[in-house]
Order: sequence, then structure tokens, then C-alpha cells
Amino acid sequence: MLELREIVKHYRAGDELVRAVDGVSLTLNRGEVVALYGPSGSGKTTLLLLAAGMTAPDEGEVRFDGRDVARLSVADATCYRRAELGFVWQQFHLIPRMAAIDNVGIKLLAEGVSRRAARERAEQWIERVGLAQRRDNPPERLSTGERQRVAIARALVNRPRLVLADEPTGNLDSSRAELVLGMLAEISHNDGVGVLLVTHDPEAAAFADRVLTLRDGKLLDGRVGDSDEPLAADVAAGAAADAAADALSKTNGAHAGAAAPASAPDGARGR
Amino acid sequence: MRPSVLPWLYWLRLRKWPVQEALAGIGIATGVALLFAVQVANSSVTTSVERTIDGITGSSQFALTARAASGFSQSVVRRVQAVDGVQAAAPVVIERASVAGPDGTATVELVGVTSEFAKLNGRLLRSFGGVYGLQFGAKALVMPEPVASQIGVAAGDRMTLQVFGRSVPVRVAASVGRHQVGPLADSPVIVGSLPYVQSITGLGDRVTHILVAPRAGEESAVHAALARIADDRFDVTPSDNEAELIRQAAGPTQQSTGLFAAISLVIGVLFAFNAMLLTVPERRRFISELRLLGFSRSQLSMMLVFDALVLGAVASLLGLVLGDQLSRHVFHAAPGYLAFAFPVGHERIVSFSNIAIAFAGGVGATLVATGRPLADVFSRRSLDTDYRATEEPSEGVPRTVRRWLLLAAAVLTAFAMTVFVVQPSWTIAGIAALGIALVLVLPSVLTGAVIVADRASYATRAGLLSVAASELRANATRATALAATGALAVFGSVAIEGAHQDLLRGLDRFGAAYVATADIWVSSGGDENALLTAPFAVPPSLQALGRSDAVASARMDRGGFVDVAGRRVWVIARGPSEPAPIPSAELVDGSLAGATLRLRDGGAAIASVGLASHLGVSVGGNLRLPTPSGTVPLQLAATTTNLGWSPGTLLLNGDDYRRLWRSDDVTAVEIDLNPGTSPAAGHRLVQSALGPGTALTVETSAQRLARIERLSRQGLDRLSQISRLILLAAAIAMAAAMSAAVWQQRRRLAVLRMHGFDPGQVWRVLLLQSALVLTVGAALGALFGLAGQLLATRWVTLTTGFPSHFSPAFALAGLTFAGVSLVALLAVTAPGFAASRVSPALSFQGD
Repeated sequence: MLELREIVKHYRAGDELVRAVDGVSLTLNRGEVVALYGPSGSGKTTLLLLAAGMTAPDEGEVRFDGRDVARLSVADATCYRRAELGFVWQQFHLIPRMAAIDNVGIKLLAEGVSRRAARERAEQWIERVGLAQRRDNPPERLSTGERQRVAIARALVNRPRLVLADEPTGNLDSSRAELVLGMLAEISHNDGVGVLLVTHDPEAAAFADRVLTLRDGKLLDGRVGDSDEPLAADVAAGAAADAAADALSKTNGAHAGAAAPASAPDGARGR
Repeated sequence: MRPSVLPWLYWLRLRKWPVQEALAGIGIATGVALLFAVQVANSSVTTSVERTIDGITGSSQFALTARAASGFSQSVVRRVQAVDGVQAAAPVVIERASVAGPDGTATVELVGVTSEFAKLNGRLLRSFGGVYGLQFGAKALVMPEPVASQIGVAAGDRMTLQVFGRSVPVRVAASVGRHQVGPLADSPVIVGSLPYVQSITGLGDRVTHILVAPRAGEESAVHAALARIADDRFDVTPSDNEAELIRQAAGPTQQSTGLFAAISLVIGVLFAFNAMLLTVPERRRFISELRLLGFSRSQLSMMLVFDALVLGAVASLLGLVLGDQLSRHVFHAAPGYLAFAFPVGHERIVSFSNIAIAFAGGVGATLVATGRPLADVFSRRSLDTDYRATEEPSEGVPRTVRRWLLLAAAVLTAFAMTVFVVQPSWTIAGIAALGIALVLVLPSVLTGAVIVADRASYATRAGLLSVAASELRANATRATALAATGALAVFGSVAIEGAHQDLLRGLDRFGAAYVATADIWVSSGGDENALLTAPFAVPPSLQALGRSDAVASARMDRGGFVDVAGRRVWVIARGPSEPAPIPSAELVDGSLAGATLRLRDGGAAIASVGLASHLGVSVGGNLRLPTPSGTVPLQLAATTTNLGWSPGTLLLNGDDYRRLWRSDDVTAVEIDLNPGTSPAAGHRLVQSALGPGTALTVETSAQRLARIERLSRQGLDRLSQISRLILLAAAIAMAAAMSAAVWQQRRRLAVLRMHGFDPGQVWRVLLLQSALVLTVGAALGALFGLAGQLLATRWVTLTTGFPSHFSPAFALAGLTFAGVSLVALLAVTAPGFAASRVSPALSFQGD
């Protein structure tokens, strides 16, 4: 379904050209959960953006069902995200003071679905993530775990074939993280949805069917948690990349056009 | 924390939120600019007259002043000079006149002086005479360069002087400029030797004033002796009495413009306050960061106050510069109606107090606007609430708070209405209460509008409306701040402009009733004599017109200005045969029929209600009127509005006036035409009878009405200018604030884009939410503006005594509402378009 071939992606941090992704290839199939594991600055979020068609690789191809998503026009990229993708963020990005059920259904409005129909469809998903009793509560009245479940329901409400999840458990404690990840995995397997899960948490990565470890933009072989050493090194590398990404976000702002090498890699936390 | 750190901390904050700082600065600067410009314009009017008067009167302390333009015998000066204790006594003629040259005409104060005048050491004579050696025997006039330039003459040229309905050719001895005599060159004063001025004005051996300088310590005795000489046939006044009179005359209008300028400053404060509200989440986080770093609340307070002082000082300086330009280019024209009775110059006078008040107002306003951030510093929110927030906080006003606000708004509105009914003198407080009520009611109205929009999105397929409503709900504080900016601007503008329109309608109504009594009007001079106070002798050719078949009748009107109890009162004395001597719509107290009858019988007067109150006379009582024949009692038959002349108005019987003023001169001739003669034909007939060289002006009633309307609009134009500037400032502030708000919203827009909303949809969401905010704000502002108009009209009527009646300015409110909404919406279109193209990738960036 999703195929990344020999992807290379650079970005500029000051005078320095940073190789954010270096020759990465991966595939993701329907009903499969793949975790991209690595420390901050290892290139995980850049890969996510590439998969979403929000930035183009300098080398290589990103294909979804055979279509080169990097070459989509702005309109087609919008359609691609609207029809095929669902997103889950670490920071939830729910709209404050809006009922949970409406937060779930909002995405459907982009498709021109009526408000009433959007609510009806959102209803199914809000039940499915176990929040039927909390459906009318705004995010402020939900726990962090419940917020992320709402976010998952929102990601799935349009029945996407691929869910891109960026550190979805970053703000959750371990028990809530487990619940959320279990839910993602279950939905993936039951509904045939592919999930690309970006995380730097080995426990989160353990929920995936496959774990791909990234370091310095390269895909490594080996399992998560085999030893502490690689992780410590990753953290050090990540700190350097954070600084570079910070500079990038200040220099380029947020205008990561489809063809511009100004994407916001993970770790760009300056804004 | 050392104070030296404060500038650095401010710099840090400025770098973080330059747009917010700029917005706050714009708001304050706008208010300061208006306050400063209005103050300068107001003080320039009175100060220019004071300087002119001071230039003429010099060291004199008293003036014997004629009660009629025809003056009194110059021989009186010998009696004055003979008084023990008089150091100097100078006979003077001061007459309102106009001069005409090839490039136009100008109204001037014609002053005739003798060598005695030099003893008073008045700056005017010292300047004019000192520079050019005014020859007391010369048959020529010295004039200021600006006036000479305005009418297109120079030294040695001839010009035409028009006075008392006569046109006299005169020679310009010299024109003196600012580089020679300083600011006095802006005084509209033309000086000549007394004999020459007496000859060209036809006054013969009569003078209008004797300026008296007593010896030190002899003031009381001299004053008493002068009173005996005056014998109640002319006035003994302080020589700067004219300056007092103009302060009184200009006071009401200046209070009105001052009030509206103050409203603009309040709106400026609210602009600044709103600009600060726009960055509540960011600022809270910044404060939390600093507190986590160990800054105490007092240190943070010191920092905020320092920030406010810097912002206030910079914005106020900017406002002073803007205000300076406003006063030069927009508010430069003095209200024309004051020139009917006073020598108003064109000098722009900026005093230290003008600068100090505007600057202090701006800095003070900024400190007030700091209240919100200070409240954050002292709030009981836990330290890490904002710091650890993972997404934008919900900023809505809680329901219970909204209810309290609504209750407070209801109380304030009730207070405003009570003031209107019970205690009109507190109307300013009522207007302020309405403005505050408007802001308090906004959160509830906006919440209601969002709910309605949300429900409407169910009923229709307008899904984007639902998204827009959600965005507004999520940004409730910002949305309220934006709506409040628009609402207050529309409120202020509708209230001010509505009251202004009410005033104009009242003046127009009186003007129409006044001129409608005749088909053709003959009077002396031009705009400066719009109130028909300049006397002239009726030429025989005009008297002969009465026998023409085209003319049905001709009536002689008299009148002028009379100084009564510290006020320069406008006296209108129409003939006993005048069909409607009292404008019925202006009657305040008394019976129209009874008052008309008593006026025709003589021995009665109709006074404006303010003047009657000032004199302490009620209808049926006697008022004492100083006349050239002595002070006479007249029965007060009724009271009216002041007919547009704020110091006060008196209607007298024309025959009474002729007798008491001992003059056959008239101030206007009203001519009724026979049926079949058109006004245009009548105009031609009268004009040809007077001949080409006449100094009299012939107008049809329509032409005269047009002149009156033009002058009343010019006189009150400053109110319109203030209201337009408030709107302009609001449009700029709102456009900037909305652009900033849209820009701050990009993260959530990026999330929408990530969910598959295309840029067009995101743009529509932005436009919808802006439209919703603007519509609610402007509509509510228009509604409250109408209530404000009710109060402002009442206040203006009470303050100025003008003939004004409230008539709800629905069209104005609608147009202002539509205009503000449209302009701000258009202004947000471009930034909205740019923001809608935000990269979805932005949603992946952290804070």
C-alpha cells in the first residue's frame, strides 16, 4: 500500500546542509502497524511528512497504491490526505470548547458531508473508542487518555487506509499509552488500516507488528531495547539535530510546500 | 532584579510579539492624536482671539465700550482723560469689516487708532507701527501678510473695504508677515489712523472703545469714574473682556469636541487592551516561564509597568506627531460661526498643557491597559498550568461570569436611561455606562451568535460555518476583543455622528423657518454676517423698490450683538409686521400666540432658555437689557432654543430696537414678491436697483438657506471629522488585529489542512468567522450607538442649547455597521488567503 524507496531528504540548518533521511526504504501493508523508532532528530517525522505527501524527497520515491505522492498537485495532495489518511498527533490538536463528537466529525465536513451526517458517523467511532458517555464533553473536560482516543476516532472517521501517528503516546502515562496503542493496533488489524507509528518510546514501539529503527536518518537493523548503548547515542545525535531543526523552523517558517525542501522534521520544536 | 535588566526583558518580549506591541501602540497613538489635535484646534481659537485682543489693548485695564456698532462721541475721551488716576486713555474704532482684492475677500477687524494708543504699548501697534512707521495722518491701512496674500494685494495696492453696507476703495500701506511681527501676523486685524478709519466707516467723530490705563493703585477709583461717565449708555469692562466672551461662546462647542476626543482616547485604550487580549495564551506562558525561573510577582509587575511606560511613551510620541499633522491638515479650520462675533485668527497655537495632557493621557491609558496582564501575574492559577499546557487553552468566558456581566450591563444600561430621564446633566456618565455595558454584553451575544451559527450549520449543509463557529468558540477571548473593537468604534461613531446629524437637522430647521419669511434678502457683507448683525443704511434705491409691481412688501430687520451679563448675545429685532417673528418649532416655554402678540406690542422680549436661566428670569418676569439708551426692563414673553448661537439669543420688536439703539440703520431687508415674479427675477430686480458697486448682498431665500446650511456644517464639521477618524482608526486596528489573530491561528489551520480541508475551504472558514465576529460586534455597536446618540443629543442640546432633537439615525447606524464590517472583512481577506495556504506540516511542529 505505502512504499518508500531509497528516500534521501536534506534540509538546511544555517549554512549547514543536514541529511535528515538517508536512503530509507520501507513498505507498509493493509492491516499492519509499523513503528518508526528512534530518538529525536533521527528523521522519523520527516518520513511521516514524506508519506503524507507534504514534502518531496530529494531522491527516491514515495508511492501509495502505486501513485507517486510527491508529485501530487496541492489539490490532489489535499484529496489524498482527505480520502486516504488519518492523523494522530502527540498534542492531540482537538478544538477546545467543542464537543468530543464534533471534534471527531469535523474532518468529514471537508468532504462536504452535512453536519448531521458527520455527527452520525462520528457517533459510531466515539462508541468504538469507548467514549459514548463522554461524547458531549469538550477536550477540557476529558483526561489526556480520553483526548487521544477522541483524536484516534477523528483519524479514523473517514475510514482512511493509512493512519500516520506522530508520538501518539508522548503525553500519556504508561497505562493510558497502553490503552491507546492497543486500540490503534486492534482497529488496524480488524479494519485493515495501515498504521505508521512514529515513536521514541520502546514500549510504544513494542505494539507494532514491525519496528524500524532510525538513527541519523538511516534505517538500522535490530530490535528495540537490545542494549542501552544505541539509545544513548541516539539521544546525543538527537540533541544536535534538534538544534538544527530549530534553526530550520525559524529560517523557513512553516511553508513546507510539496516540492520545497523545507519540511519540518521531528524535533523542530522551536515555534 | 536590577532596573537595568528591564529594558532587556522588554526587548525580549518585543521580539516575541512585535505585532501585538504595534497594535497596542496604534490604538494608543490614535487616541492621543485625536485628543491632541482637538485640544490644539480648540485652544488655537480662543488663544488667537486672546492674543489679538491683548495686542490691541496693551497695558490698558478698562474699556469703555459702545453698545452699538455706531459707537459714541469721541469727545468722551476728554472726560476720561480728565479723570484722576488715568494714565492713558486711547479712543479706538474697532469694527467688523471685509476686504476684497483680486483673489478674494476676507473678514477682518478694522482698528482705527491715534497716537494716544502708543502709550498703551499694545503689541499690535508696536509691531505694525514699529515695523512700518504707521503714519497717523496717512490715508492707508497696514494689514497682515496672510490676509493680504489671501485677497491678492500687496503694499501700495488698492483694495475694497466693505463696512456698514458701504464699499470704500482703500490703499494698502504695508503688509507685515510672521518674520516681522511673529504670531500677530495671523491676527485678522487691519490698522489705520483713527480719522481715516472714521472717515471710511462713516462714523464721523464717533469711536467704539476708549481703552484706559489707570495708574497703579487707582484702579477702583478710575473704574468708578468711568462708570459715572458711561452713565449706563455704554459698558465699562475689563479691556480683555472680549477674550472672556469668546471663551464663553466657544465653550459649549469645545466641550462637545473635547468630550468626543476623550471618547476617542477611551476607544484608543480599549484598542490597546484588546491588542493585549490577543496574546493572552502566549503571554501567560511567558509569565509562567519567568516565574519558573524565579521572578517574583513584584518583579513581574515592575516589568509589566516598565513595558507599559515604554509603550505608552513611544505611542504617545507617535500620537503627538500624528495629532500635529491632524491639527495642521484636518482640524485647521476654526469654527466659522465664532468669526461672526470675534476676531478669530488662523494661528495654530500649541501650548505645553496641550502636549502634557495628551502625553499623560496616552501613558495613563497604556497603564490601564496593563491591567489584564497584571491580573494574570496575580491570578491564582497554578504556576505550571500554562507552562505545561499541551494545546491552546480554552479562553471562553465561563457561563456564570457571562451572567454576571449581563446583569452588570443591564444595571449600567438602566443607569444610562435613568440619567437620560431624571438627571440629564450626568449624561456623560450615561454614555460611558453604555459603552461599558456594550463591552460587558458582548461575550454573551457572541456566544449566542456562535450557537445560532452552529445550529444553522445543522439546518443547512453549511459545514464550514460549523468549523468557523468552533474556531470562534475556541478563541472566545480574541473574538470578543475583536468584536469589542468594532462595536466600540461603531458605537462611538454612531453616537457622535448621530448627535451631529440631530444638531444639523435642528439648525437646518431653524434656518429654513427663518429665511422662509421672505423671498429676497438684502444684507451687508458675506459669510461673516450670516447672523445679520452688521448694520447699514437703507439706500434710497432699495426704498424705491417698494413701489415696483414685482414687490409686494419690504420689511426692515434690525439686530446685532449685545454683551449681556458676560455673554455676547445675538439680538434679532424684526419689524412688527413680520408674519412669524418667533420660529414656532424653537419655542421652549410660553404661548406662541401670546408671545407673538406681546412682541408686536413692544416692551417684551423672547430669550433663549439658557440665557433666561443665566439671567434668572422666567416667562412673565422682567429681564434688564443694556442698550445705548440705558438698561431697560423687557417682559420675558417666552423662551426658545438658542437658535444655534450658544451664548444666547434675544428676539425683540424692531421698533423697540430702533428706539433703544437710536439708529435707523437696518441689518437686513426682507422683500416679498408678488405672485408671478420668480425669486430669480426678483433677485435680478433688486440687484440692478442697488447697482454694480453695492456692498450689499442680495440673496433669494434658497440661496440664503444654502449659505446658512453650509456655515452650520462647517462650524460642526469637527464632530464629523472625529467620528470618521474613530472609524478609520478602528478599521485599521481591527484589520491589523484580525490579521494577527489569523496568523496566530495557523497551527490549527494546519491541522484542518492535514485533515483534508483545501485552502479554499480554510479561507472560507476564516472569512466566515471574521464575518461572524464583525457582524455581531458592529451590529451591537450600532444598536448601542443609537442609544448613545439619544444621550449625546440630549447632552449636546443641554450643553450648547442648540435647537436639536433626537431622531434615531437608523440609516447612519446601518451604513456604519456595513462599512466597518466590509472594510475589516476586506482587510482580512488577503492575510486570510495567505494563512489558508499554511502548510499542513506546521501541525507537526511543537510549541
